[in-house]
Amino acid sequence: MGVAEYTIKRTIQAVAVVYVVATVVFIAIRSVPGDPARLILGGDADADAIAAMRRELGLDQPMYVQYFRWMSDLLRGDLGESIYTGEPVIGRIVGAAEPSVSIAVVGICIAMAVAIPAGILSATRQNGWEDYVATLVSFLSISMPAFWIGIVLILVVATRVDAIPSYGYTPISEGIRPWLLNILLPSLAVGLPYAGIISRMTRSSMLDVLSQDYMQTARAKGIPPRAALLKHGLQNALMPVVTVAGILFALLLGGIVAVEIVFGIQGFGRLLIRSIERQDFPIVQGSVIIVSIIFVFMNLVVDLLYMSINPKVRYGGES
Amino acid sequence: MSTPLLDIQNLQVTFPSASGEDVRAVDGVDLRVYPGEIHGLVGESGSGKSVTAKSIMRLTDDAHTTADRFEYDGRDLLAQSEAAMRSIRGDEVGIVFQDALSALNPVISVGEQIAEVVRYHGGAAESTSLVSELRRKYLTGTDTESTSWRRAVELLEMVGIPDAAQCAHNYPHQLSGGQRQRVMIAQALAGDPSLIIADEPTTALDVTVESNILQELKRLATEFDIAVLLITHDLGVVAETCDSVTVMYSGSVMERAPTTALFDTPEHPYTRGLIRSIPKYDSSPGEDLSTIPGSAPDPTRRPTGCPFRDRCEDAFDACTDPLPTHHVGEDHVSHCHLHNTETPGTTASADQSRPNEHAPSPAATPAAEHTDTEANLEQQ
Amino acid sequence: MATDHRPQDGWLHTSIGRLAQLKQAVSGDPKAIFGLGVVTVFLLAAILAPELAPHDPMAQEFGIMDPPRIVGIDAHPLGTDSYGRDLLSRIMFGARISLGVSLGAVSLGALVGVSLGLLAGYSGGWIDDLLMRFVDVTWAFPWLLVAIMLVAIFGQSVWNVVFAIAFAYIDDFARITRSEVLSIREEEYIAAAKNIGVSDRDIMLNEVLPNAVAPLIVQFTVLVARAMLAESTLSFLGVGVKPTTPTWGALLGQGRGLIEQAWWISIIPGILIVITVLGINLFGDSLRDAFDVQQGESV
Repeated sequence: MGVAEYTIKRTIQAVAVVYVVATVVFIAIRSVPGDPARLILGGDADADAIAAMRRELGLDQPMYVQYFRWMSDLLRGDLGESIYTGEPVIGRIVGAAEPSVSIAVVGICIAMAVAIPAGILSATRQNGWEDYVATLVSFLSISMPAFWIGIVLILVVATRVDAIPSYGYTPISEGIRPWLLNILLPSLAVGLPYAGIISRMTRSSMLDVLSQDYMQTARAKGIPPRAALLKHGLQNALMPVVTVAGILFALLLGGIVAVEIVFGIQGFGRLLIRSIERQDFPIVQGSVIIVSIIFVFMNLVVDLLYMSINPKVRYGGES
Repeated sequence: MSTPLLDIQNLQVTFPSASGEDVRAVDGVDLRVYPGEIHGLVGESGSGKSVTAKSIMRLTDDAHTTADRFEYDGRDLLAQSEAAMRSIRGDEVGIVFQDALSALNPVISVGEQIAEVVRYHGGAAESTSLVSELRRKYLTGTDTESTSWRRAVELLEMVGIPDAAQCAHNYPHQLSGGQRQRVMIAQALAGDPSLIIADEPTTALDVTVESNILQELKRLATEFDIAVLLITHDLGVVAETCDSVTVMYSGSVMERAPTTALFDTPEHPYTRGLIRSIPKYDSSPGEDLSTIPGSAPDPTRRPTGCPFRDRCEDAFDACTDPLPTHHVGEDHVSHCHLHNTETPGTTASADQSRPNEHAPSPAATPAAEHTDTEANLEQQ
Repeated sequence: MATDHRPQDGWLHTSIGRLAQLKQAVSGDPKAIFGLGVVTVFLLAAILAPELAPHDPMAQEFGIMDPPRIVGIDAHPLGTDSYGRDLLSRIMFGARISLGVSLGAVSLGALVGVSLGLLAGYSGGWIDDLLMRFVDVTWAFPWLLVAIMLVAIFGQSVWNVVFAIAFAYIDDFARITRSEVLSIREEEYIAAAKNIGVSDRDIMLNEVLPNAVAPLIVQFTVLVARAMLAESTLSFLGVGVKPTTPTWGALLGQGRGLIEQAWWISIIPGILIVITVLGINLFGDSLRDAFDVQQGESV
């Protein structure tokens, strides 16, 4: 099937998945023991006030009506208001997103920039000392929780190097350099485990590619080794890596949340944790939905990326 | 007699193995290919023919390769540096591999895979630096106006691919098996070689396609005066295409002859067995097919002397000795102890016992130093 | 992506074969030996914690934030925490809980995932589609959020952590099983078996499953390591087990503010987490080499 068809199909699937997620969240939130109205008003509210609140929240309606309201609100982008601050949930989440997104983006970039070359190097010098070191480092990075890496980085780096702060977040608006320096350690903490997995995958995929017949053909044509590696081998080797890279985004999330706590960054993760502590359900449920949406569509993007580098998928079979 | 383009004597290729039992895939092989001729290298699986072919271009790195003579165009290939080999590969010698689907790169267009050969071997004034190659691959694609691309399309037309300009943009998986094989041939021709090594180029194809490809190969070889070393297990292919043949078995050469001579007067028992086992269209129904009983020996456990002796009907005591060389006729050589007569002075150190005596038949070769005794006339 | 498929001649034979492969993998490979060693120590500490731990992990009777001291009457080899609890004992019991949670979560995930995978792969058609959509949904939920939701709703407890983590791993097992089933289903000996009337269920259990076991075992090991990390992250965030439960992540979290004064409360559990997870990962990797599983299946 063509690119357009495939994209449409996957988009529809993505939307369906998000729909299911939203429904599950709806059910889950409704299963909370206790009365949300009471929670909002506090322990010693009287029965009338509670009843009024329930009506306001629409909790007195039958379930399907609530569901319908919930879904239509969702489609309009209305995720409700925070119980704690009264702000619209969407605004609150988006406002807290910049640090988290920064960490994620910088983290992924650092990870890819390090892991893929490391994996290729490991494969071409298989069993050499480069391979050994790279493998050791990879295994260590995937064995450390992100928050631990963060703690260690603070103790070892931030306390010694003045230019690198050990906490807080500097928005981009204050300049690229301060932003980068501040985001560096948290991004490393999040990116390192990710890099470990990517580099192992790249290594094994590259090893597989190197043993393929077409690499021998390249050699038989007199193509120099580096050109053979990068022009003939690389794209083939990256295909499985791309597939996996998308699935692994989930790993990053846990890391980001934990790292924000460690570095005292007022980002999405911190908002989430605080909201749980305060039982601010609209924020919790809004977060779940937003993250799911991001997640599903990121994977769609990765799928499309894969399609663009795999001609077998892009152009069907025999013509 | 012209000088051979490819002259190999006593080639030994040994693969070291982790378990200690080294595998000697090629054990004392002589191979000669003359300019412009199509030479077949025939043998069953495991005979070492593919290894021989690959070792010519020193593609078998993990193996230990030695030879008394290993020359291409007068140059000792074993003495060449890797960089020197790289300039020979693709440029003076082209290789066509067996399975085009796995031998062609799935992520590079067919046209580009041919064009790069042109570029790397001086057929176009385009840069082949790493940066420009990578840019071509990942950013801009190959310029369809460039010399290398146009030449690639030309070559595709030459090998008989319809709608070549369009086809050049395709990827290997989009083509049929026959088309892919033609692409491989085009790729091998792209550097203007004087020798093409074709490793079972038609084995993976069905018969009608195979016939077309072979015709194409033969035509191109004649038209551009290119020598071809055609490796195959199929005597039919040999009969149809080759000028002369080397027959290999279990790492050694059994016989070498011009094609007609091989089929008319095969000297070696193995060759005879092979020819006999070709099904004949005029055999009667119900008649058993003739086969050579047994199977090829394990390369780590070859019998001493002639590797064929365990399956040969005419084996006798002398067969445990190293293979002799027996010149039958013009460029026709057989390696079998049966050819040695009682009189010593033969070319190799063979022992002299034979099971029975038969009337000698005339020696046909001017190089023959002894009379020839046919021990196996009854076997025909 | 295929492993070597053979018609299986019985569970016993396959199991013995696997054990032999396992033994061969471990002997001579330093990382396998290290891995196995670490795993063994961890298991022993976890299982024997009640016997081996010098003190009650909850007892708050000792000196507050005593630095580690090996010998002496009131010796605490790993020090005490800010409540006066012996750290060594807490760590040993922490191993127990971490082990329980990780094994439990991955086992649960495996149970559900493998069943789904078998069903989907073998039935094909709309069942396959439906089940695969369901699997898609499970990985659309980042596990952290599932955990958070569960905790927000049902409170902090070990079981919620187990469920949340298990949920995240269902899709891994389902996918692997399904692809193994799909590749075996086409093999001719399956058609032969069906012809002589072997039931689908028997085919699944006796032919398909044994072949799929190798990549599943490797995946199991890899995920146990990841589950440990996941659990420690959740506990660190305070979104996992109850605060008094001494999982290593929780210990780390509690000790964080005190790094200046009492580094051992955080650092030691942290190092232990890394060593244990590293050991499991190395062991899993040597298993993968032994069973000769392609990397693509288990990341």
